[in-house]
Amino acid sequence: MGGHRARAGSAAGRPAGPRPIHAVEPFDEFYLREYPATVTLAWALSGSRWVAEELAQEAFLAAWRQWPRIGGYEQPAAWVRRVVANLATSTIRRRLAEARAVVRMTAGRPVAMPEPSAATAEVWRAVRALPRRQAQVLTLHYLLGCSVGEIAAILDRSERTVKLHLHNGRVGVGRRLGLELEDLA
Amino acid sequence: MSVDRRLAQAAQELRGIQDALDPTRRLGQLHRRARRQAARTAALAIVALVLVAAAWLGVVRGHRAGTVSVPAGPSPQRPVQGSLGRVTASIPVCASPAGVEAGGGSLWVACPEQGVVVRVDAASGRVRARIAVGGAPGGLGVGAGVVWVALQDRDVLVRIDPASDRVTARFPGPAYGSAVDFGMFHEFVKVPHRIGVTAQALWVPDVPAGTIVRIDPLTGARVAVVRLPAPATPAPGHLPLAVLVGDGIWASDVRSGLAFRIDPATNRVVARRLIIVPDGLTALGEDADWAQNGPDDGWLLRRVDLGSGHTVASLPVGRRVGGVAQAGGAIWLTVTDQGVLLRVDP
Repeated sequence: MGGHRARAGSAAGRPAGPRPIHAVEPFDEFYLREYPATVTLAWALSGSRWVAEELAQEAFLAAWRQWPRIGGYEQPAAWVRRVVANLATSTIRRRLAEARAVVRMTAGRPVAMPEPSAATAEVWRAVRALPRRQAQVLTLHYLLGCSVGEIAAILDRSERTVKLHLHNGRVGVGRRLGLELEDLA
Repeated sequence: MSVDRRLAQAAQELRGIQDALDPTRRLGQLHRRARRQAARTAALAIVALVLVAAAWLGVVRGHRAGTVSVPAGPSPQRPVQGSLGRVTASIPVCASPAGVEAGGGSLWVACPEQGVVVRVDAASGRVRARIAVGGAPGGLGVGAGVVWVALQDRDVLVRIDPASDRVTARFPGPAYGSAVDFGMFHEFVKVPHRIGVTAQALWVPDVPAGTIVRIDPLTGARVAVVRLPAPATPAPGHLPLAVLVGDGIWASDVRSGLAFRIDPATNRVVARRLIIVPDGLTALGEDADWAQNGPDDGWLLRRVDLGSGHTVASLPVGRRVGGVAQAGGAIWLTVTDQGVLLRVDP
């Protein structure tokens, strides 16, 4: 196994750096470690667990095809997260994933999973109702614990822009959840 | 409770659920899918080799017979057969531009992150104005001498007067971008949709409700809600993305692959036709539909024949397209991740 370790929830460095700088970790190990967090990210942004699993699979498949290059990045997880965040906020790609999810479900053996509570679902609905970038920034920050710098690297935006999206996103969620302005501080 | 705390709690609960996922089973499925894709790619490569060999033999035989002239290869100055054309202008507009519409000799580009609509002169390619609209612009519609903008974060319709480049009216609009509950699936839709505009009416897709809302352009009053007929095959619901005013008023439904004609006298659907859109963009263009592939195919913009669903022409874009419009014989498209408006001439 290579010496590279990509922690779940950490994405320091550019997600698509120009050259491999680490020994390549076996793809399967990377997948088994990162899959749950990646699905959860897609789940929050798409609102459907089934679609989220398909979107995550698509992102990992893209990584698998280029694994000798992507696996050598400092944080290959950041690359996958950027892909899945963009896929989850693209209606077109989500519809394709939805179609695959239908096929998978009708093929049988759906695995039962607990559903989020009504209160939690309401919060994520409010996040998804935000503009695309704000939703991505809030989800990466709160769900995966990414710092402003890490989010800037994942989404290829400046830290100033990320901070602005974070602030506007919080205000937007607060407004949609009916929280008073003093609660937004 | 603060927003910060509500978000943190919601995140914690979702993280708890992720433990129930089974990555081992899904890893096996990924490997099988990867093998199938590799086999398909290999088969396509063999077919391409055979076609190239056949074409080469044909050219050689033609030369020998003295009857076939060898065509010049594709160059930047000459569009290749089957290509949408060549990019003749790249105009920086804003970060993450969304929809684009043409009208009054200008292109109107929605910039949701900046809260402005950028007006670009179609002839010179210069940015003429950046018009603050008081929210995040999403859908656009041009007609009857004005520009209408749907704000995706306020559920508001805004009218821009092209003579002054100012907002001259603001009306409540249909919900733009709330969660859509299709029973089993919860889908969130926030794509640039297209508003149909006439002197008498605005026809605005209500994407979450799966309906078309008719609005009085003078008063902002909601005149009617047009319900689309139930699809013949079981489907989660309608997903209307565009209303086109031309040969009648047509609303597209990318979920069922149908376009519905609305009679403005009765506000009812009076006809339907099939539009085959494998992965629609704005789902109803001027005389063709637009689709895009990516990222596996490197973001390819395709012009799709509405009747047959066949790709008529294509253009490798490299990045995701936000919107497409036609004006003055050219195609204009926004490239979301590059912040530009591209002009493509056939």
